[in-house]
Amino acid sequence: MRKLLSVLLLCCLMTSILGMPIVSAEEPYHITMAYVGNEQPDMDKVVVAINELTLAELNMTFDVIQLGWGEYAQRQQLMLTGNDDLDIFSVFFQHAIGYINNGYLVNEADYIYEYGKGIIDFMGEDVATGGAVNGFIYGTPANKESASLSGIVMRKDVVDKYDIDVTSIQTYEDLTPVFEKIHAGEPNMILLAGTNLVNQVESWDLLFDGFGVLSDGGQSTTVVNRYETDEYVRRVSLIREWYEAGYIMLDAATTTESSSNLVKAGNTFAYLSPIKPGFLIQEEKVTGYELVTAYIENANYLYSSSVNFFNWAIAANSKDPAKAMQFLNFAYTNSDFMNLINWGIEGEHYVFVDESKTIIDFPEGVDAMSARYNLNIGWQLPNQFIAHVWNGNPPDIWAQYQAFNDSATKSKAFGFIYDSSSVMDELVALNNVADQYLNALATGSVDPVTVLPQLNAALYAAGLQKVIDEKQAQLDAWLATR
Amino acid sequence: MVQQNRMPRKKGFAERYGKWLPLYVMFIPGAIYLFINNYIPMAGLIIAFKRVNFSIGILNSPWAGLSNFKYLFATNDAWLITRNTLLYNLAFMVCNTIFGVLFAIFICDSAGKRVKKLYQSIILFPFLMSMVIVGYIVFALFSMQYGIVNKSILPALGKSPVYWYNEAQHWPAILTFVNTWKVVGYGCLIYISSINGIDTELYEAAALDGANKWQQIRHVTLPALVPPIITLTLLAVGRIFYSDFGLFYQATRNSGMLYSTTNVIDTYVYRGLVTQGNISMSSAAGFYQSIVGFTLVLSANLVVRKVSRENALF
Repeated sequence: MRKLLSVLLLCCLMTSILGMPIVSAEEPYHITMAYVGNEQPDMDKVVVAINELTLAELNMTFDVIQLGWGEYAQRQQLMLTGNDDLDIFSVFFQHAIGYINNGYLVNEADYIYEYGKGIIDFMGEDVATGGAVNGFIYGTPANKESASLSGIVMRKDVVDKYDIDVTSIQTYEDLTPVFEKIHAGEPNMILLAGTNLVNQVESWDLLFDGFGVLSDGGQSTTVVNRYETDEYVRRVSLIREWYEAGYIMLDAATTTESSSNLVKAGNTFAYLSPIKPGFLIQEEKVTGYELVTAYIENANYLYSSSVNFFNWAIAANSKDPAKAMQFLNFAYTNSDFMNLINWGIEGEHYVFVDESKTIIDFPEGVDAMSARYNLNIGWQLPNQFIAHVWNGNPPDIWAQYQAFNDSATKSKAFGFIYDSSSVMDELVALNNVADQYLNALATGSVDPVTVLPQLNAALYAAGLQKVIDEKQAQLDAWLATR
Repeated sequence: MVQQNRMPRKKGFAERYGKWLPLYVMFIPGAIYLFINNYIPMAGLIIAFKRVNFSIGILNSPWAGLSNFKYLFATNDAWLITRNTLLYNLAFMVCNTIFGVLFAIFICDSAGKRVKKLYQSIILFPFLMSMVIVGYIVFALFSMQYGIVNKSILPALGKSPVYWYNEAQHWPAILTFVNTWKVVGYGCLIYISSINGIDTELYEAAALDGANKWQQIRHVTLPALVPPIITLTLLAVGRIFYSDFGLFYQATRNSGMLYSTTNVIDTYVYRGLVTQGNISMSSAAGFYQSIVGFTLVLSANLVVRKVSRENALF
């Protein structure tokens, strides 16, 4: 018996030694990339195809980790603290400061000028290195439409029925007569959905967290309390009138349903949203209604936070940050990679519908529901501007995006990211105050005449002035270096 | 328990503990579980006193003193969240005990084994439900646009609809009701098993002495329930600084206008730190909650020991 055991043990040992990978200099580097998106049934297939590409081009093997929208923040934390295999991943702008201070990230400034030339060439040094706090480049921005022109999205059938003149809608105030007219005919219809009726049309540079902002789309350089600006008071007062008139869903402040889903459900007329080229096609697909849009306030501004919304960062876990940077450079410049990861394999997950092979669509018999691979998060992936265009969009959509970005007025604080580590305690309190009041005010659920003074008192009690002073000081120092 | 300690002194180690050996063996898996899950992680408590930087590791990170705790006490909210946490937990303890005992007695007195089982399962069912689902049940009742209360019940009574999710004053009652409905089954089960353990001869003797149903409950059932009541209460006291995050976050749909009566320590920490991801500060909150809970359990047990020694936990 004992002999048998020892033989068995020996066998185990042998196999484990033999099974160990042989490490040599030519061993391809293994890249692990994490993104936030929905699960794709054919993910493994696509990863195999990407591996063929990366092995040939970079001598690297490749793997992805897909994080769900509801859990990505927690899972990123776990991977970063648990020292899991991770090289590059996308960082939401509000997490950036915490991640930097916790030592989760590699400073890309040490690598981008040597290994990331392609990124700088494509996006311009300004933008490519703009995701920086005190000289620490935490990530390169995903190339996307970053300007924020916003407006109202309305059901076309209702607009036609009540003979609404869409061109008459230019400001928040212009919406009141529209709502009044429809409400008279459809008393039970919810006319405006969403919890974010003030913020969707953004005319302040929020300087990342909204505690201390720059007015007029960042054309002023004085940091002020957003909730005392005339613009904010004007909007919440108007929205309160709408709520009391019954245009807004009573539960608007706490609803977790997306506005487009509410429209799809059939009893909602409109919602506010950022509007970009190709937006209508996307929304009509989601809501199942024909839609029309009108820009509100016509404020087309470009903020640091919108360019650096999701940035591609190198994790401190990375065994070789230089290789990770090389891979990022490849991801920003290789259209085959972008097409594979965003749209899947040609012929299987998508087909070309035009001669010049730029426009793609699902193969016959496949739609969005039955698709085995259709990640469709181009706005988060490194560089969608080099990838194929989905059918229904104009063929020159990327040029349109570029023009859209270029036409926007840049905030005076564009490129400035503030370091909040000295006001952490205040931010905890301020976040709680914001959670307490903002949704209720922004949906008209409470009367701003009584609640707005309470909000401001609570903000100052929570240390808003200290945050404003800190931001102003950092901004002034930053402006002085320009 | 007390008698068992008075064993003859001059016995060898093996003789003294030998006969308990099977019990100790049975204890091992539990002990290992406790050690791995509850004791080893205690080393992580130092995170609360450090400014953690993962690129250099937890142990090498600089000490931060008590600065991670500051935010818990820095604002006016500190008083509010502490008050809410304590008062809700007190209310929950009282309701859970009273209703738990009440239902246990009712169920045990109901005729028929099958009916008993059925009642037990029904009363335990909400305990097994996820708070997210409970949140939606509450929303189905109290939704301001489509809720049953506003659309059917209040109009039938001739009253005007109430803005439930905008008005904080309704929520202490709603949350206490929801919590009792959800967790009462758990305590109830323990009380039922205690009642089942009572010698039926005691009831027969009481009946012979002319005790009616009420007197039997008062003098036989209730005294037998004192030990489990004390145990459950002591356990609840230890968690008095914690709160059921799901209840206070999901059931209120995180409605800001309700914070004055629904913000508790756990939700405050969550809302404050969810975007920052500062693990030192969140560990500090956990550390504070456990220390207070630990102290409270010790003092509560001390009081119980003073009053009735055999009912104390230790």
